[in-house]
Order: sequence, then structure tokens, then C-alpha cells
Amino acid sequence: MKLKGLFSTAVAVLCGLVVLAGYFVRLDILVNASNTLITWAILLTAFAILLGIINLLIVHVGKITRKQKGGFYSIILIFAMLATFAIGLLAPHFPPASPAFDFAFRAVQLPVEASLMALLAVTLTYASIRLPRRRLSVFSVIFIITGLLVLLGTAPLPFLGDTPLVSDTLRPTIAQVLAASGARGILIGVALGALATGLRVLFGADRPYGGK
Amino acid sequence: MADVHCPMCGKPNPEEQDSCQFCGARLKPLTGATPVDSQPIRAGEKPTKRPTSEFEKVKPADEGPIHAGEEPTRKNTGELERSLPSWLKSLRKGEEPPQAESPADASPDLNLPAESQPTPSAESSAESLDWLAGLGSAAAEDEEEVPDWMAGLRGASAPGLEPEAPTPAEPEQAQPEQDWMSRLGGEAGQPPADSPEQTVESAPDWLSRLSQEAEKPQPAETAEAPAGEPQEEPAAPEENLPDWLDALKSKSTVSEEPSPGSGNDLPDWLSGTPVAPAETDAAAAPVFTSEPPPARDAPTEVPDWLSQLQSDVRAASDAEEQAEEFEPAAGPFPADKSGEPIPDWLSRVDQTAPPAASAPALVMSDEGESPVEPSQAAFSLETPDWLSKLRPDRSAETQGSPEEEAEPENLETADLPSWVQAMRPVESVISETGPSAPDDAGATEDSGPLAGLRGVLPSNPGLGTMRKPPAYAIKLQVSDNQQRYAAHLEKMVLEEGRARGLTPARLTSNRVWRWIISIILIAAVLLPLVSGRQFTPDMKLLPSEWSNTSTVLNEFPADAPILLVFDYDPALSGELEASAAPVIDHVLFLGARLGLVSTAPTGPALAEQFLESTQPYHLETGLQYTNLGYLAGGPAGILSFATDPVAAARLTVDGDPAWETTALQGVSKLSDFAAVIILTDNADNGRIWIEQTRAFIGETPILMIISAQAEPMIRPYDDSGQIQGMVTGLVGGKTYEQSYAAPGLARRYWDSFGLGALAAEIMIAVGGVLGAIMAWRARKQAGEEA
Repeated sequence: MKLKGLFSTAVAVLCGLVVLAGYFVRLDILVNASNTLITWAILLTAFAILLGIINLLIVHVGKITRKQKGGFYSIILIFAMLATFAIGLLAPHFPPASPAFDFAFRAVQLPVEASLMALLAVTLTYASIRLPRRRLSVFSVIFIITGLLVLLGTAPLPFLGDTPLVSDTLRPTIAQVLAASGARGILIGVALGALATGLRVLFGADRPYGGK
Repeated sequence: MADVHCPMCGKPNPEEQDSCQFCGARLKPLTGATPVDSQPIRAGEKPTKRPTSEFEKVKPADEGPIHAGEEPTRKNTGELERSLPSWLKSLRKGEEPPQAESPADASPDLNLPAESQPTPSAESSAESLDWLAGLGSAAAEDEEEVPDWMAGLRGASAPGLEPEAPTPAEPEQAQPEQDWMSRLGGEAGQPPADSPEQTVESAPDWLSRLSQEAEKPQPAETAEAPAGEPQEEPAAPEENLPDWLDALKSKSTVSEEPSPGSGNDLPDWLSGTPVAPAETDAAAAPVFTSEPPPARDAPTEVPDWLSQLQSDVRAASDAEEQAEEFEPAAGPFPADKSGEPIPDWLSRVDQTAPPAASAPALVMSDEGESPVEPSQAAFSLETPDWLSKLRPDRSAETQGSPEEEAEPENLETADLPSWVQAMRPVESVISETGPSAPDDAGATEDSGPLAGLRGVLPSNPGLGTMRKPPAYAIKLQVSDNQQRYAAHLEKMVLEEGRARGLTPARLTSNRVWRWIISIILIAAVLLPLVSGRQFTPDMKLLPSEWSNTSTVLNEFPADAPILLVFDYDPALSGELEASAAPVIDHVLFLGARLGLVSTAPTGPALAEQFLESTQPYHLETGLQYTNLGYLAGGPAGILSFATDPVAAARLTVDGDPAWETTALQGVSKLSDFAAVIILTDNADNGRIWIEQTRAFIGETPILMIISAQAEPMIRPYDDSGQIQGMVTGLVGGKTYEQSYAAPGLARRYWDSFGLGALAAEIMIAVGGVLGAIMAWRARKQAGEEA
């Protein structure tokens, strides 16, 4: 291991130990050091988002200059991004820009994303109809029956309200027992994985920051 | 200074030379003859076993048995020089240099039978001449340059046989001591008296002369017998006699007038031998007989065994001519390829003799029959070492010769002398010492490429027991499944080569179905909104988590700071607004102050939009809230905010100091909030908020307003008590709104939600069943087509 890798590993291990110690030992020096390190991490994350935006801009500018397919949409994207960015920068300091910024969000972004979610409802319905025809198997039948029971137990029937035996028994059993059991298993796995990853980073076994 | 003649090229060399200056051959042998080899075997003596290691020393390294079909290789016989017996060496040292008489010149004069095939009638003679046969065969097959000493030996015996005076002595006139010779010839079935001329013609004179010289001490007796014979035969011109023969004549007192060719036949070293009468008797007698000297009354007679030899040769030649049609494979030795002249006497003698392997030269059987005894007597002579050294070559070469095929099978087994046994092939020794093989195992192939080989093929046809081969049905055994598979395969192959017509594409594509589904769903959702009617009754079964949330909110003190976390995407804002609206309305009616924060970039805008769309009443009446904006860093940002909220979010979205606003007065840390209400559609965001704030939040309750899709992942935290209340989706919002008794957004969505879900359920159920039926029919049809 070179000196550079050794130094980076030592820095990473030290930062992790300090933040970890800040959880358990409430010393001011440790808490301040931990908060400082966390703040640095937040700044780096925010800057990473900015770098991502700049990278997206460069990619689409490249598509326009190379006259690739879909270049027109790249022009719209760049224009919208730069306009929104400019309005966002001006909004805190220029009051007339604030309503424009709100309008851009409420009139464009919010309806677009909601519409995409509505399309998802149509797509899921269509996929559920096509599933038995495309792949008729036991698991396909189970999947469809489960979906129908959850929908039937969740949504009230017109003029009937709750569906007996489904709304009070089947639907809660599926959602709170079967699904929750699977979710617990997933969460335990995630926790163990995070623990193992953290320990490996602390011990220097994993070096996602570089070095071998 | 005396010269030493090279044994290889015959040229004289100075005595001090170790090797020939002309050909490089060694003049002085490195080792002399072994004492064991020099011991003669006399008649009546039991042969003793001798170690074959001595023979191996002389034997060339590359020497090996020659099998049938192999080409003989040239052999250097120079190494055999050192194995010459002392008596022969002494003779050679005393000989005169050869008189430029090459073996090629002398060989044509030989009058020995040109060809002969071993026949059963010539068995005994063949046996007796086996040791010579090896010599002749070696010379004929090798076709190498014969050393002078060998050439001199041949030259002494070859020429002048025809004109030599015949020896009319009949077998009856021979001495009793010489009966072995006559009996030897008698075994061939042709008495020598029947063909005296043949005997005279074919007998080598040098042998007869040697016998005459051996009788020199009795000149009176030896002069009688041949007296009249030379007169009948045409005398050879005396001008052919060399000087050394003249000198020999002068020294001989009883010798007859020599035959014309006798002087040319005898080499100098042999002619010089009888010059000394006293020594010649002592030296020559042991050469040919170990018995007391035979009768000396017929010194000029050709020995009977030699005359018998000629008769055998004639008989064998006749028998060969008659047996050609029976022995097509038998022929002359295959050593005539190099074209070098081969002495006829050697080739004839050798061809006359049967193969050594099949008919041992010395039959030492004690229980041998009477005809064998003369041969024993004949070979009780001292065997020259050089001949014994030559024997392995001959035996090896004749082992695979075609003549072996003509070996008669009725020859009795005889005991071999040790020196012959030592020369026998290893295979024969092994066959004798090993367990007796079956009689049919030693069958000799008499034709084909394996001719001459013994025991190669089994005597019985086939390698195993004879068994009738099982009968196999020619008809192919095919099962029904195999026939069906074959039919399918044939059908597939035929279909591949058949042109298919273009079928018109179906107009009902997926896009149409999607439009149909979309229209149905939109219609179901818009119907309650457009009609204004209530299609679904209120819920009768309230979720269990609703009561916990309501209880926590009711315990809030008035004017308590509440932290609202907007961590959802705009796509799910409709669900979450409908779910959170009754809860936030409840909180605002309690007089709580709100602090808004988000870990999503769109969160602050969503928070503003949420309050404006769902809480217009509270905004108009002086709602106090502070929008802290966006928390960057994800989990780190949440941790930072949980650790020190003042440091993590110093300003509002408008740029004002956040913690100096009315809504956040008295709040410096996370635990100062009366409650933390998290609105999220992502289970991971909810999990991170719970986990990162747990260590800093103290006794502050956490309430979760989540989307229905995040319920399975968040519910474990609710069940474990890490969160104090949870409102899930539109159902939770409708429940909270229904219990709050103020119809709102959830109520408006409830009918649309119910009708849309019902429409989706119907379409999925019907479509699923139809799809399953179609798939089943397609499978069935495919199975039928297959």
C-alpha cells in the first residue's frame, strides 16, 4: 500500500471512529468534531449535486453540438434548467421572482410527476391483465389474486362500503402480517449489511474512497 | 623386421604397428581367446556349460536376431580376430602373403552344388554341416569384404576341385575309425559308392590334402589307394602349380602328382603347414579328429563325410527341384543383394545344411540312435573359437530365413553342447526351460507374411471358444414414443421447407387496450367528481394506528412547536396531501407552530403548496410556520439536523434567520419540538429519519404520514414502538378525517378512489381470466399442432 492510500485510509477510519464515538460518548469535543465532519459531508454531498447538474448540462450540450437524435429535447431541457436555476437564485433576493418560481413548480413539475404516477396506475392495470396470458403459472395467479384482495380490502365498494371478510381480515393479514414479515426480514438484512459495511470501512478492508 | 598382415585387408604392416596403416583395423587383439573356449570338446566328453558372457563380449553391440523380411546388416568381423584360437593364429602368422588371388577369382572355380534345399533325406548331412552352414551363410549374407585370412581359407579350398584326382576309396575300405564319416554320409540314404565322381568333384581338395598330409608319416600306405584314380582323370596342367606347391611336392615323398587346381586352392598358410611333417601331424590331426589317427592306408582319399556331403548336396538339389512347387517361399539366401561375389562353396554348403535352429549341429543325446553317433564323433573335434564366435551370427541370421519353414517337424530333440546352446536364440532357450507349451502352440506359419514364425497365431481359429454368434434382428426396434418423436421431427423439417403465407397483422395492438383501460379508469375516477354524488359510504372499520395518532396529537400543549418533514415527491403529493391534510388541520386547530424542513429538493415547494391548498383557513387566520428549506446530505443532513438543528438550517427559504422566527422560538434542538411529523412516500427516507434522530430526539414523539406503498416497511417501526403514530395513505387520511368529522380532501378522493379501484379490480379479474383461458387454449392448440 502506498503512502497515499495509507493516508486516505487513516483519514477515513479516523473520521468514522469520531462520528461513531459521537453517538455513544456525549463529550463536547467529540460532538463538535462529529458535527464538523458531518457538516463537511453535507457540503460535499450538496456540491456533488451541483456537479451532477453541471455534468447533465455538459452532456446535453454535447448532444446538441453533435446534432444527435433528440437534440431538440436537450435544448428544451437546458433552457428550462437554466431558467429555473436563475429564478431560484433570484427568488430569495428578488421578491417578484418568487411567484414565478412557485408557478414553475406547481404548474409544471407537480402535474407532470403526478401524471406519470397516474400513467403508472394504467400501466399496472394493463400488465396485470396481460400477465396470465403471457406467463400462466402458479406464481402469476398468486400475484394477481393477492393484488385483487388488497385492492378489494383497501378500497371501499360502491354502495357497499367495506367488503366483509376482506377488509377486516384478509387485507390486514396480507398487509400487516405477510408484507410486514417480509419487510422485517429486509430491514434486518439491510441493518446487518450496513453494519458489516461500516466495520469494513472502519477496519480499512473496504476503501471506496480509493486505494488498494 | 617381420611384417604383420592385417586381418581385414591383408596388407603387410610393420610388426610394431598396433593397427593397420591401410585400413585402420587392429592388428593386435586386445584380449586373447578365453581359456574356456580354447578347450576342445572331444568325443565322448560331456559338454559343459559355459558362460555366454564371453560370447557377448565378442558379439557386436548392434547385433540382433534377423527376423523374416528384414535386411541383413553389415557386420564387422574384425572383432572376431581376438577370439581366434591360438593354433589358428599360429598358422596365420606362418602363412605367406596372399598371392593377389581374390576370393572373387577363386569362387567361380568352386564346384559345389549351387543350390540345395534341405530335405528330410539330407537331415543327417545337414546336421553335420550345420557349423559350416553358419559360416557360409554369414559370408553369403553379409557380403562384406572378407578378410584375407578368410579369403585365404576359402581360396585354399575352392579352386582345383574338379581336376583333382578323385578318391575312389569306398566306404567299405575306410578304417573303422573312419566309419563315422561313412555313416554320416550313409544317413542321407545315398551311399557314396554310387557317386564317386560327384564326391571327387565336389570335395574340397584342401581338405583331402590335409588328410593326406596327416598321413605323411606312413607314406607307403597312403600311396596305394589313389594310385590308379589320377590316371583315369585328366591330369591338370602342371604349369598351374605355384612355386610353393612345387616345394611342397618336393618335400613330400609319397604324394601323388598333384591335381592342377590343388596348388591354387591351398593358401600359403595351409600349404606351409604340412611342410613340417612332425609338426603337421601334431597340429592337423586334432583339427579334424580327436580320435586316434585313422587308417593311413588311403591318404589321398577324400573323407567319406565330405563325399557324403557332396552326395547330400546333389540329393538335396534334386529334391529341391522336385519340391519347388511345394516350397515356393523357400529360396536362396536373401543376401545376394549387394552383388558382391559369394563363394559358392560357402553358399552351397550353407544352403545344403539345414538351419541351425531347427537342426542342431551337435546332437549329444545319450539315447540317440546309431546314425547320430557318427556325427557326434565328427563334432567331437576341437571346435575353433573363431567358428564358435561366428555361430551366433549365423544362428541369428538363419533364424528368420525362409529355409526354416522347410524344417521337418519329425526331428527328434537332442541335447546341444554348451557352446551351441550358448549360441541359441533366447526364445528357444526360454521355450525349453519354461513350461511345456501345448503342441498346437508352436505351429509354424508356412505362408503369408508370418511365414516362418512360430506360435504367432492360435492354432484354433478364433481367439476364444467357438460359439455361434447371436442372431440380431435386422428390424429396428422403435418404441411408440420414439416413433412419435420421429414424426414430430419429420413434420418440423417439412414445415421449415414450406413457404408460409403472410398473415395480416391484427389491428388490436397493445396501445388500443391501454387506451381502453385508461378511459375506463379515468371515467371511474371522474364520475364522482363530475356528478357530485357519493357512491361509497363511510368506513366502518377504522385502522388501529389511527387511534394512536389521534391520542398523541390530543396531548400536545397549546402553541407547541411541531416539526413537519416533507419528504415526498410531487408525483405522490395527491395521496399524501389527502392523507396529511386532516392531521395537519387537527394540529393547527390545536394552535401548534410549524417548522417545515425537507430532505428533498422539491420539499420546500411542496410544503408551501400543501399549506396553501389544504390549510387556507389557517393561513388566513395567522398561521405561524417557518420553512427551513432543504437539508442536503441525505442521512448526513438528517443526522446533522438531529444533532444541531440550529447549525444545520440557519436560514429560511426566504433567507431570514430561521431560529429567530416566531414559529421556532424556544427551539434549539430536536427534542425541543413537541412532535415530529414525517410525511414521506419512501420507506428508506422514513427509516433514516427514525434511525438518525432516535439518539437526539428524546421524548419527542414521531408520527409518520406515509404513502400506502411504504406501509409494509414502516409498519415494523410502528409495531416496535419506535414511532408513536402512523397514518397510511388515503384510507388513513379518510379515517382521520371521518373521526375528525370534517369532510375534506380525503372525502372527495374517497369516491373516486373506490370507483377507480373497483374498475381496476374488474378489469384485472376479467382480463386475467380471459388471458388465462387464451393462454390455456394456445397451449392446447400448440400441443395439438405438435
